[in-house]
Amino acid sequence: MPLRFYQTEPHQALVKLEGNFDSDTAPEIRKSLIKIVKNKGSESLKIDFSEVPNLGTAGVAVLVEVLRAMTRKGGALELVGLNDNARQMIRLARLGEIFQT
Amino acid sequence: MSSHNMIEIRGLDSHYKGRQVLFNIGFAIPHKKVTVIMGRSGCGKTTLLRHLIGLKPSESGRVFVEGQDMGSFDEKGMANYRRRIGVLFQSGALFNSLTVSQNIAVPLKVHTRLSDETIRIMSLIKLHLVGLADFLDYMPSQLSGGMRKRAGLARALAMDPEILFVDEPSSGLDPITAAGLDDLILELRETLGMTIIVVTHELESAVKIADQMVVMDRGNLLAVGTPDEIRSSQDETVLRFLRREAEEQQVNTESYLSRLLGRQYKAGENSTRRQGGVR
Repeated sequence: MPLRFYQTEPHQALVKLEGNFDSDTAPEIRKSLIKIVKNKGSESLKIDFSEVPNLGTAGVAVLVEVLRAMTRKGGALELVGLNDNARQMIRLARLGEIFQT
Repeated sequence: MSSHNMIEIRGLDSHYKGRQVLFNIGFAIPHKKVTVIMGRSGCGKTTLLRHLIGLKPSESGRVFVEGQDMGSFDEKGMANYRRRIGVLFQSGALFNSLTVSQNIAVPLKVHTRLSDETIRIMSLIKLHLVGLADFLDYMPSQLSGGMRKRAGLARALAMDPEILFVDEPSSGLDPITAAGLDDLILELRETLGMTIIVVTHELESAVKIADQMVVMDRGNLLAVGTPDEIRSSQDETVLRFLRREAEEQQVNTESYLSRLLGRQYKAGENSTRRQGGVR
């Protein structure tokens, strides 16, 4: 699954995901996101889901890991461009409040 | 075949220990709907379920999954199909030597390359969904029947299945827990667009959750329709089932007494021979 990283401001980063974020693709995406959080020193990470047709529970679980890593650094995680499927998946996991969907 | 159908069954016969238990079954299971298969105990609904989940190959007749004949699946095709389905068996079918969270993790460890931490979070999400987040480290033997069933459901949902099969969700549960499970099934259909097949003999639950009802009797298909269509059926057997009336069983006394006596018994022979009669 293609993942594009942009350093939009000195302390702000944007990651654009393309394709499904499910149990098949989650291991690779996780590796990349954790690396970005550790190495880039960004205080704010925005993940753009506008090109993600399907978000599975594995994707939601990886987002929880990324959120935890960002929070530990005192940073913030923002999800943008979520489609209905992704919003429902997050709400079904009872994480709507945490990810503000 | 309609593209709105997830599964289609055509002319399915089945035998168990030499006895025919399904007779020319044919109906379609639509995408993203709840189909409830119901009938009295022993009517063949669990056998039908075993065909649908690929545990019992078709002898005659076919089962199609999105237009593909399940009988033509090779080992890889069947493995792919099994990745797409989740099954909640009547007993919950948990591994007794594993904790609840380890049980949920089993399919994820077998079928994916996910990290242990991702799997741990996924297990917690699924257990929270079924109301068991506080019981992660419990052993199955420490859970009530209802909790075991909910843990089984969490495991069936572990892989985000497209199709969920549920065998007798209400059996052994108190009415409140059973209603909670029904609500969860409806939520899964609403939020995830899952295709759900429920086997039950609980009429109230069936009417509540079903988009489509399939009524079976003694291995035969009696009726297929919406709950309203089924309730307005004019078929006497369907009506009797809906009224929960017991039917007189056809008892083969000769066969029963032959088995009991260990020899061929003919009706009326006792009255002529006067052997061992009860007076």
